[in-house]
Amino acid sequence: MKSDENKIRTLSPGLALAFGGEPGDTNNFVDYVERNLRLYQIRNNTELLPAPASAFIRKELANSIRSRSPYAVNLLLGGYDKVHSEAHLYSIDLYGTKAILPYAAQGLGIYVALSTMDKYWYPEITREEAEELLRKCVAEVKLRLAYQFTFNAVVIDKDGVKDLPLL
Amino acid sequence: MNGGSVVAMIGKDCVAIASDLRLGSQAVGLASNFEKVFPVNDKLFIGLSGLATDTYTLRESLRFRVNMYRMKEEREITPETFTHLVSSTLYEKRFGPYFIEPVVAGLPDATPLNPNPKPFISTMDTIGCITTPKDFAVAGTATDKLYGVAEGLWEPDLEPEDLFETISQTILNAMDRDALSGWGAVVHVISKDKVVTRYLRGRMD
Amino acid sequence: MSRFNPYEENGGSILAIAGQDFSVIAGDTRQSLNYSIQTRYAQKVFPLTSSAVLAVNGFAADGKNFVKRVKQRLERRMFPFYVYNILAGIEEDGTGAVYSFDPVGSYEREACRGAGAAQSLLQPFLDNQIYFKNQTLAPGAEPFVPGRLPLSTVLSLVVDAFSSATERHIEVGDGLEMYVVMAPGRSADDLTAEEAQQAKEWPSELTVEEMESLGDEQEEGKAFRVFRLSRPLKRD
Repeated sequence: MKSDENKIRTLSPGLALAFGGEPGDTNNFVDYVERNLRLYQIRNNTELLPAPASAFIRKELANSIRSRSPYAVNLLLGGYDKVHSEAHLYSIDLYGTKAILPYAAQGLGIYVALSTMDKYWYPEITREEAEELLRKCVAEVKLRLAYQFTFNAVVIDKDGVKDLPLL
Repeated sequence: MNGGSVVAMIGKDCVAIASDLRLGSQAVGLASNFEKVFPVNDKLFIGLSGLATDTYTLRESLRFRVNMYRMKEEREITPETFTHLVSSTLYEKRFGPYFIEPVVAGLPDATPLNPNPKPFISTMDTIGCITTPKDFAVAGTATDKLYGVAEGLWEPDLEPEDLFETISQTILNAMDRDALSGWGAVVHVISKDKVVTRYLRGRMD
Repeated sequence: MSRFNPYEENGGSILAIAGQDFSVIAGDTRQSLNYSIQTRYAQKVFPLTSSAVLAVNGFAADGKNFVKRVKQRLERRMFPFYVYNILAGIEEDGTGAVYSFDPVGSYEREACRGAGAAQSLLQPFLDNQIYFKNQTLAPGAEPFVPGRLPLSTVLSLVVDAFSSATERHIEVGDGLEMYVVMAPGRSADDLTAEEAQQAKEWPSELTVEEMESLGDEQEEGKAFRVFRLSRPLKRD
């Protein structure tokens, strides 16, 4: 098993996707999403905003789950909507269940990470505090989980997607 | 799997429909802003409780069909017709159904043929078999609890404000005895000249 | 091959509510197996002593045997009776009490409890009406205290709860049997007086009879009183 795989993909200047699930399915599905968003951009000369992008991804997974070979992929979609100046976060599971959330977690660390954010997140949280909270979650997960993973993170704002150092 | 409940009630020249706000994955609560009741037009709402992905899928496919109906017919769809539209949409997937039990609540407009329309509610099973109760309709993971409370609290010809209290107490007390429903609720009371939407705070456990 | 199952589920429901100086305990009288009604009158509520009445629900054969054995004070834990029990009566301090038990004997004192086939229909209704759950106090109103409702209110709540359960649950119906246990010295006028029975709140078709005391040590005027109330429920 690989413990240092990058599980975050930048889809467009204002959109990033974190993914988990069946190893072969994840990359294949994210590739598919990425290429289709790019195709949309070429055809329409405009990026798909986070909300419609989430609807597209959700629908692909919802259709996939009732197909002969469904994708087993769980996603967190983060994006910055430059038109409305809003940050967006979506949690989408392999069935196509979409939740619109202020904070979200998936995978092995879900209990620890969600509990940590339940305690420290608040509606007016600043960017610096949010980054610090993310580090707190990573630290808690590392402390409580038997497996040792390395983590990477990104921040998405009006200037695009940038790597966030975790240490 | 995701949990959630919907209830609708008939009053005097009004109807109410309510849902909880929880979205879960088994025992884990994911979101407390997941509404399961959606407007179809000014005086018609549908509640879609069940598998959350199908709540979305069905809402979108019904939105498409209602928009097509509106453009072709150049009028709003009636609650009765809409119920049959939902029913056929569900029956299309007879051997691989949407895991949804819909509840429809609406106040039909007066027409020359039907000058004094009555408030309307209906409910269906996952493959679209219709029931049109005279009192209330329930669906979701707290179905039996909702039946118990609603049967005890509901009475005929409630005014909008009393209907709101009745449906709110019904969903709140039923939710509190159901592990998969809760985390707040939303209530819509549809009367002749307005729709009142209120969000209820509930227990967060 | 399916293994022999020593238990059956015979439907029906029981319920009890405690008052300040009385308690009410009730059960329907239908006994069913799957979709068949075995009898429309099977007792689920049994006076045990002069101040305690027991309601038993679950596997009827075990229930009958359990009541017989409880009267002989026998214990059994390894191969439990498949029954849910609710015990209602008067505590030593004179307050109305309800104790609910699971099949292996875990118990709790409560202000009210519903059990059996229609537990999920009864309990949230009782939460609302007895524990006042999700109700907010009107400005300046007396605070809600569970277990202090007047007898007439409790009786109509029990009847409403069972009528509701009968309406929506196929295993509940036929008849309702209630026992009211009253603390020594308490007036029974709110149950027996003509005036009380004419009141708007009084449930329809309710018959009231006083039970003969099961105790022998009680002096005149200081005895517990037990009443048996019955009323038909829908038979469909």
